[in-house]
Amino acid sequence: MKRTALSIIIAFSISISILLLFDEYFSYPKVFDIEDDQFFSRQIEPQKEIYSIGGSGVVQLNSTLIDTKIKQKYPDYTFYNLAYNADTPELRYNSIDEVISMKPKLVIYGLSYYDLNGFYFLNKSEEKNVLPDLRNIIEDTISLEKNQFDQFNPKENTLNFIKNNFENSIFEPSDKLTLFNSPFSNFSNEQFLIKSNQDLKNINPEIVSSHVKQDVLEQKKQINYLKKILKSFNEQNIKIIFLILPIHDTYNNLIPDLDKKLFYTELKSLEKNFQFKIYDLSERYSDLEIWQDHVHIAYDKNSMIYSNDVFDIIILELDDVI
Amino acid sequence: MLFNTIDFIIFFVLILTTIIIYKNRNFQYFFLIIASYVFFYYSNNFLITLIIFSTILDFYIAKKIYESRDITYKKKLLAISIVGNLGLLAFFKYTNFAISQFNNLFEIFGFEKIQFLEIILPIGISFYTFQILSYTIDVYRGNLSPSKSFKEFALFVVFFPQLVAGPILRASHFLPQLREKFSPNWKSTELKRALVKNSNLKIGITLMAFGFFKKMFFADNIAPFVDQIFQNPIGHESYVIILGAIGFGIQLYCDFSGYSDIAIGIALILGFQIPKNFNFPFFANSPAEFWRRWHISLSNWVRDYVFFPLVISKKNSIFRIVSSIFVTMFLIGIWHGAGINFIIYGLIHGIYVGTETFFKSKFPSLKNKALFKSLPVKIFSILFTQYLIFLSFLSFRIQDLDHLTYSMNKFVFFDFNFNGFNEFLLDNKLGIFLIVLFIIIHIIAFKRKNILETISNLKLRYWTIFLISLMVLILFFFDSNPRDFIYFRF
Repeated sequence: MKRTALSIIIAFSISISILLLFDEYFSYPKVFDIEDDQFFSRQIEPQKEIYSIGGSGVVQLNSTLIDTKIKQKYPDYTFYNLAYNADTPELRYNSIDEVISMKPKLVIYGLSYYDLNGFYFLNKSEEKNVLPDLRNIIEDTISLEKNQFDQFNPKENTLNFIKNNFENSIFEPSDKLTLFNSPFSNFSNEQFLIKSNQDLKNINPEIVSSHVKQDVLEQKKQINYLKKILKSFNEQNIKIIFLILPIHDTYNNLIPDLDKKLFYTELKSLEKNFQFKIYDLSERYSDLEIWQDHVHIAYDKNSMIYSNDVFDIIILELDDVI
Repeated sequence: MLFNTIDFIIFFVLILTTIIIYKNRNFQYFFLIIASYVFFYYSNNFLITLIIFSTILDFYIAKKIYESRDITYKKKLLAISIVGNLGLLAFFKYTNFAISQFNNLFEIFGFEKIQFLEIILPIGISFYTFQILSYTIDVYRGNLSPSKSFKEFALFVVFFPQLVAGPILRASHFLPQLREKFSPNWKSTELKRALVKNSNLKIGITLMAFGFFKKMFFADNIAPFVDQIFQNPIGHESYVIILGAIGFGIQLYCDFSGYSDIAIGIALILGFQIPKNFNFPFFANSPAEFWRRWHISLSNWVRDYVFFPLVISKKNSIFRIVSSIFVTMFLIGIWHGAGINFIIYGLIHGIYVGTETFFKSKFPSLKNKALFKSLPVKIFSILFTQYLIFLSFLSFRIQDLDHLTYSMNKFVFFDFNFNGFNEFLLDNKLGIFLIVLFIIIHIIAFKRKNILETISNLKLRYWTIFLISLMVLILFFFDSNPRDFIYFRF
């Protein structure tokens, strides 16, 4: 039996070692590692670029459309959407120096409830447990990585490796739409699909309250990062404006009043201290049939109202500063 | 606790090490019970009280039933057990479903809507409830002597490998394994020592590797392909729906049989035998045979405790048999979950098996005809059965009734519309490749029925290479956000 046990240990060790070696040499940068991206090493004329930053709600903007329309009025200006999925102020802060180094004319920061709670619902056990939760105790004790978006993902590495090394391979992941003006995001099939309002009416209120819950400690942490970001922009005289991202009517109606109040109170307080404008789009499209899900407007020709409105806001602000 | 997490690997290694080091029988059993409760508590937290309650209730009720000579008293005790266990199951699993149906029904009369209750469904409640009930009913029927000690019974109920997703154990099969057996006719009163034997370790690990491979390589990697199709099936052509249904059938099989393999493997390493739950269901040549090959422990359970009591009468008319099949399959459907789609799933299988039984009883000589024994007809019957089975899987997968109606319509009435076929294949290369790969491996495994023994008997160095190959494939296609086993939610 000892030999069998030894074989199992050897098999386990070799497999893990192969995986770790592969990860060491062939892993692909995560989307949060944008500070090392060549986008920031371009030689550009200062004050000629406009950026949008934020999470998946901002990703859904049609950056090509916005850029084209801006160029019609201001031919020298270029728009880039630097948003990526699951962004939070904490993550964005890692690359803020690089963003500032490009000296943009204007930055539009899109925020929603779960950005300020640091995706609380993913990282905390949401069950109402009476007795101690063993999972949380173990995670806290051995300090396991809690950010589910930032984990080591072998499948992603494998598929990327095959895609980049074996063209037309059978394993190649399905093609995703990438926009030139959105360097850190792309669109998969489901992001194009519009769900009917009827479909969107089916949502568990508990899911919404868990998504938007403004956990005091987590919110404080994210707000502190937001303050650091704002301070950096202010010091470099870079104009920043905020968008409160659109959400669907059903979802909006299920957000607890307390969480809404906490979210807006914090933003208003920042607005007062750092002197920026807030454009609240949260309810603007709430009843239109343009939604991919409750918190994302689909990337579709019928949903361009969202990108057009953001363009209008940009022009309004540009007119002000140019 | 999910089997496919590092938490479980650590948990299992700790258990195995402790069992190997401490050979005291009482300690081993006490330790296994505590470990199993920790396993349950890990996912269910305070809901552990439910399984403890059911264990205590049925331990004493079965004992009283066995001791009593009064048939009326026995019936009352049995009724308490059934009401107690099924009452808890019904409350936790079906209350909100009942409320939603009530609200839908009485909305037109202007009744005020009843608020949903904040209920968390305990993981595995459907499995352990059926397991406990089988024990009490067997004791009531006189087919089983009650457990000698509470410790034994508790281990039978809470034994962690199969606790949350089966196979559903029978006390008559499991309890004798807890006692030392020195000769076929004589049972010791001493508890059996849990010994980790070399042969069991090798077969057990091989089975576990198969299980993890099915779950983590096939099921979890086919799932995105299936989800993408059924997230909103409306607008898809027939070929997409059919490929989605095949994908889901394979995903479901790999997910559930993968769990069963892991559970059986773990139990075997610890020295316990758990009956197999799947036997190549995709090679069934009739719906009734499908249920003898798919989720065998549940099929046997409903056969013994629902179907047989329903059909036993002085006059077994074909109508009674068919209607009993219908009721039984309806219960299998609703057992899976509180949803109209699961009721439809059960009813579809009721129609399948009922129709088959009816024709077999009306034309008993057909099966002996040479034509029906020929290879082409056998292959046709397998393919036709699978067509029916995959059609039923649509109702397992799709909850929205409009989506379900659309998908079933497209599945049955093929539209011969191949618009975007090439793009679809190109966009879903990985999912389709895995489906084809699974079919090839499944056919090879079916042809070589003793594949488990063959691999377990390989020389150690080749067996190690086999393990490494399987583990590398599993690890390289492992998504860092592991998916729950589908049957956990039942």
